[in-house]
Amino acid sequence: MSRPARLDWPALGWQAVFLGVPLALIAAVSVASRGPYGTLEWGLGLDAYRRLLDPLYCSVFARSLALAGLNTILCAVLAYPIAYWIARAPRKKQGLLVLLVLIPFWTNVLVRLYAWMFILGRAGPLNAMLQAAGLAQEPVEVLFTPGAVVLGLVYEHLPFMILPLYATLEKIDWALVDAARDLYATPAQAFWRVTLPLSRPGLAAGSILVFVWTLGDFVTPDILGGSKIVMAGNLIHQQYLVLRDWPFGSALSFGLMAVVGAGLALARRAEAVR
Amino acid sequence: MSAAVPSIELKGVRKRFGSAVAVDGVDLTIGDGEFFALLGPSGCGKTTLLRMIAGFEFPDSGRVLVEGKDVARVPPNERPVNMVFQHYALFPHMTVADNVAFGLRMKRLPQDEVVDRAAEGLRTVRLESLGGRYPHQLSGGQQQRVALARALVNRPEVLLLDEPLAALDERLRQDMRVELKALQAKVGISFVFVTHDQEEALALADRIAVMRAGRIEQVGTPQEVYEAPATRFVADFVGVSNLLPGAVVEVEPLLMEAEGGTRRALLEVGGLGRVSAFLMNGARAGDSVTLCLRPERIHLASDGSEAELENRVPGIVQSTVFLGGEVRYRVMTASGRELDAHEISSPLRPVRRPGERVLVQWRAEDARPVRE
Amino acid sequence: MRRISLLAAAGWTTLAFLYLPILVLVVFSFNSSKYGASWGGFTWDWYAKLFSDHKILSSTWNSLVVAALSAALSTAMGTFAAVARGRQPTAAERAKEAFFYIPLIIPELMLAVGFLLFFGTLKVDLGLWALVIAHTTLNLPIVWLIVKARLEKLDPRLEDAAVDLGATRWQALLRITLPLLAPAVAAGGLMAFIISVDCFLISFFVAGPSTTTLPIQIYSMLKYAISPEVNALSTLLFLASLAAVVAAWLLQGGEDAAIH
Repeated sequence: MSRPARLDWPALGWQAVFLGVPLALIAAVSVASRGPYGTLEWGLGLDAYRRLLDPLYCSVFARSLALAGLNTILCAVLAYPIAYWIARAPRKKQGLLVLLVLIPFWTNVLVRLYAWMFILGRAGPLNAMLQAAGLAQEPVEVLFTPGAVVLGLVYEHLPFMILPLYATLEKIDWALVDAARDLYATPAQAFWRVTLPLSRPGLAAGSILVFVWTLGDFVTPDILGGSKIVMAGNLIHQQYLVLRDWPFGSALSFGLMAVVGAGLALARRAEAVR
Repeated sequence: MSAAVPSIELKGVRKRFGSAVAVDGVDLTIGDGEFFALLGPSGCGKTTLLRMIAGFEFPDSGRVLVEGKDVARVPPNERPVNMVFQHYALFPHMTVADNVAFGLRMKRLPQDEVVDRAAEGLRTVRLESLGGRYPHQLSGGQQQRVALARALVNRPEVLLLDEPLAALDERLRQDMRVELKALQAKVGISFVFVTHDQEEALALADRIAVMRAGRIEQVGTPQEVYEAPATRFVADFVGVSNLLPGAVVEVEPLLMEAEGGTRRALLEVGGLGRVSAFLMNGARAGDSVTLCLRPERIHLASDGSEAELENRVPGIVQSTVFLGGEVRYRVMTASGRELDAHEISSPLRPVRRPGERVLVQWRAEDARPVRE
Repeated sequence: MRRISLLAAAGWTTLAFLYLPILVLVVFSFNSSKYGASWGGFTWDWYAKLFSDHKILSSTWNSLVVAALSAALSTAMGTFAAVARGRQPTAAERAKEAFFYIPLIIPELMLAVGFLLFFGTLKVDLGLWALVIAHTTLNLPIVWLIVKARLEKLDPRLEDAAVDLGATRWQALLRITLPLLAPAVAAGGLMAFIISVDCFLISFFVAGPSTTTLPIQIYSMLKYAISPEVNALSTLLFLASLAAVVAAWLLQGGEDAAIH
């Protein structure tokens, strides 16, 4: 006995047309080529993919991967204490603390990045404080540096790590930790041998989220890195909206997807090996 | 409706889910006004059977008759049966009164009749003052009674109950058993309930069908199922049994035909030696037979005392559990077999201590042969 | 005891890290000095300027229209898709679920690029409708997921009970299941609305030159013309998401209360 199945036809039809077709178009366009006047000429060519192998683009992908990896690690390290703290707080307080994490998470990305842009800028509060404290004579360039981009990436993605981590930690039966302590484990050993392994699903879920979203990010480097720090997302943005080279942009998109897919497959392998 | 028409008849009912066979050829007749239990472990097909009577599953083959009419393909909303669901399935967004009136409204009865019958239904289960409450404001026992009223106001031919008492605590369960039994006597229709709790089945039902792996192992009154389990599984599932596998040594040719087609026979049982029991006519020397001996049919006598019953085996008390009204012993026979023996406690009988030597004895007719 | 307080310190520090930048903006949105960090006194001027800036007003209006339309569309389709599931999952059912999950797992940039190509190939300027379509596609799986999660917590016997009491499957759906799903449907709709209003990346790729939403407007201000107006706008947006998240939280809380 089940409910009428026809009810999902509108949704399926909609997603088939407006999700299926656009994604298929990326594939189709990536093997098309650009005509003399910037028009699109359909066909089956691998020119765009050949250009991906250019060391210039490879280095951008490598930088994106490195930044995504670094961001994932930083987020995990920063998220663990607060997630653990929320999970061990009294029930009522937990809901409120999660809400506190959620609010910045739901605040517009541009607003959050702009906040750092404002703070780190030459005339911003940070430089004002540095100069007032006598730590700097001249305004220090903080904005538009790799450091600013990393800071922005961490700030933006931290809740993606806190929330899944909290969700797993919250389900842990703390009697297990008590049992470990009863069986002569020090607090550190209990954490290392019991809590940490039990929280791995949350850590994995958060890492995947942060990693994938960082790789696809173009706004953070665009705003906090100026045009100096180029990530894969910026490259794609540039090809589509500035240079109007759709075939190469599509090939880059597929390159990005391939990197994301490889990353996910690797993460899954690592999980399976354990 | 003549009394000769059974409430429910199942004929060769089969149901599979994918590759798993849930119900494997069930024939069953449930009489008018009977309180009937489907008893078995989880996954035995009892709930699927109940859901087929209700109409939530259609059988792959076989017939389902309610009051003589084949309803195998009739959807649940058109069947003259109603159900009390496991955990009650009360609609959380409706008041108690609206829950009870739901079925009447679905039948589009006139509004005043709906109100009258819903009120009457609540009166039957003594909840007339709680109609305005929501289900989550009621206790477990009250929710149970609302579920009963919600089903009964529709005046079904048969009431189906899926593990009706499982969600209640022990004390309340005892009370609700009495209440359910009284309610069934009052409304006079057949109640069919599913349970995995043998004690509940014995306490409530007029007849019990014991199920295992999609098949019915035995149908009978509680006494029949308990005293004369047909199979090893029933003996084991209903109550506690000592199961004694053995081989027939000799069948006594003609003693008397008193025991209704049975004959006295001598068996060799591992760990007990030679014991006598009554076997069906047709048993021959060399057959292997399993005997079911209920622990309370065993009498313990002090070692060296005069034997009173025909089967007797010396043993040593292994453990003693005193339960107030009853004392439970585990006894090891001289040749290494454990037997459970339960005795009514009495100031005239000393509680035996572990290590004490005893004589284990029982009557030949108390050890029943069971099929494998 | 000391370990716990150390933990609390770490927790509060992290929360401070999350909130401090936004609070700095809030404070400076009342600063009458036009440049940088020097405090020139309290003023409402930037808010007044904001409300007379017709570019901001029209882009805000666009955002709200797109959000309302796409939230309505995605909520209707997502809810029905969630409700359509049978009890025993089949292979086709699982394939359908995987398909719905796609927008939730691939980078948003991929969706943005796909939409750009889609509408670019169509060669029709759909104006705001292109954004409505894109946002609906993004939000449909989110509503579907939220409603589905709630549905899985409902006792399937409730619908069985209704049918046993004489309701048809449709009546059971309308009278039992949908009312019980209402909080989740509302939460899903609200979420879809917020995501649409917030959406920058996809809008930026999809919107034609003639259509501007609020995030696109903010982006161009950040890129080309920063003024303290942005502080005021950011403050308002922060307050709006605060209100929306608290509302969604209360809806979900009500939902939990109804289950127990």
